[in-house]
Amino acid sequence: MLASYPLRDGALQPAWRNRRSQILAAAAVAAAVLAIVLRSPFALSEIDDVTLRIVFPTALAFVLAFAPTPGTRVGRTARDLTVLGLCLAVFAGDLLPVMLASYPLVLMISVLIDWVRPARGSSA
Amino acid sequence: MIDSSLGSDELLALQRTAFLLGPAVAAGVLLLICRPQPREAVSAMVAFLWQLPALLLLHLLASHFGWWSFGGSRNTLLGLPIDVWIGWAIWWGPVAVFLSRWLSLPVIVAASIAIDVATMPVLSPLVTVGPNWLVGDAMAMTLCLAPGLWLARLTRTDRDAKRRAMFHVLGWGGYITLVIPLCVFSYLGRPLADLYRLPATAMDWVLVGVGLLLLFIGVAATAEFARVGNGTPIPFDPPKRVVISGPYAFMANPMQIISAFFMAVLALYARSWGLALIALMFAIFDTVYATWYNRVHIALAMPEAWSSYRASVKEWRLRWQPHVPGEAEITISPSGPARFVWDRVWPLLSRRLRGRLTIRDGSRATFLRLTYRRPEDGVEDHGVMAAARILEHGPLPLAVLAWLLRFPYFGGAMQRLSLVAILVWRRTLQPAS
Repeated sequence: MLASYPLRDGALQPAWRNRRSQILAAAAVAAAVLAIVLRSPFALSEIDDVTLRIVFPTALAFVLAFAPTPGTRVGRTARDLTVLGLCLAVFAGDLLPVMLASYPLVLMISVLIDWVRPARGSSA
Repeated sequence: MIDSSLGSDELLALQRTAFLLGPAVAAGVLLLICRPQPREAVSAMVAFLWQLPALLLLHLLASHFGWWSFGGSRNTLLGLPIDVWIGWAIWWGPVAVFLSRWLSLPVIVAASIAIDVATMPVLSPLVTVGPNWLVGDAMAMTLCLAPGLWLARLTRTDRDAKRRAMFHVLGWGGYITLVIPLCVFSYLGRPLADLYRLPATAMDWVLVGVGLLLLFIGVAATAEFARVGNGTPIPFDPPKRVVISGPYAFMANPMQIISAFFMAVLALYARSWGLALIALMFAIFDTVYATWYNRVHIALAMPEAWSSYRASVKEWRLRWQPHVPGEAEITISPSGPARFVWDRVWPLLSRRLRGRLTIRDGSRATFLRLTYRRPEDGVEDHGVMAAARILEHGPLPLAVLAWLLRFPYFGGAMQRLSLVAILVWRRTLQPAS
């Protein structure tokens, strides 16, 4: 285990065919479309604001959704919650920095979920 | 040619959009083309993480010296458009790192200079360059791009852990002293003078002292990771063994404690609830997630060493005496300056030291400096560094003195100075003895 610790062996491959990834990515795109519709109509001079607050978080969520599946249950939960958090972030407006600052809560919740869920095999 | 019917605001918005999405798309495409190994992906990540504080510092310098300025007032941090900041960090982070598969570091830097020279003067209204902007561009290469790529290369090839650790010390220092406070203060609309000011009261001085002590211990812990563990504090580029020496002999998570407490000290110094929230978040991360991470990753990779260590050293609980399980072997010359000091200090010191210490005299024909070895724990040092290792067997104040003696660069200077003293002694006093 130490040879590759803490990383896996092999190239990083996107999980295009993973059902969960597809659902998460679809949720991110749907949230972005809804956020843009709610914000419409907007002037061309606001395109940078829309990009920073909606398009960029969505792109991050999309990439994260299709990132290689984490090897631990906590990692998978954290990934799912992060994508969902990014879906919410597109509606956050000026509260976005507060959401960013509170990200450790997402990680904490991931660990707590792992603790309370009945173990199916190893956590690792 | 850009449509002349676009207003200045619209052109600015399109430029800012392009400066965020362009690098993001380029990074995504390169990610798909390169299909990087995990270590290469980590190197791209650390390059990105390097760029954020480095670019912010560059922007502050550029504002101060009038190298350039940015247009627009929306979504900015002290005049730096946040989208440009992130896009720039992606461009000089992951994009440059993935391109380094095909291009050498000097070629990437030269190409970046060429791109800047060709484009920056015509990027109005986003960028307005000043008369000495080329000086700023040279600073950008020196402070941001070249170090970021260098760090990435060292990380990818897993070489020179000490230098990687130095980059992480500088980078993380940039986050906790610059990026995070500036973001918090900018968001809350508070003047920066509330934080970046000279101490005014006795309490301020105490806080400054505590803050500096915390930073000092943090750097000492990072250096220990690199020196003994051949790794860094980044979870994806960790030490290759369980590091139990230095500050880790007293607490299991010194860097995490220090980050949280340092942020709390900043919050008190600036009387900022925003920074207090960040300190709380650091503490939550350290208490819950980092603990879980260690349990799942380190404990599985190195179960025996980890369980033995954690049975004696706890997180968030500072020991007064160090945990030193392995046997330490000290070799000292029968004569010379080190022996002179040893004969006077050891009788006083030995009573206060913990752990098993085996002392033997060595012939000066076979070695030059005082030597300290703890092979089980991966520790070996010479000269002043070895003397510091001996002090680390003592209670916390002695250990802090030891970390000072072994402090990066300062310890190296002490080592060289003492070597000069030994050589002078050998040439002048030795014939008479």
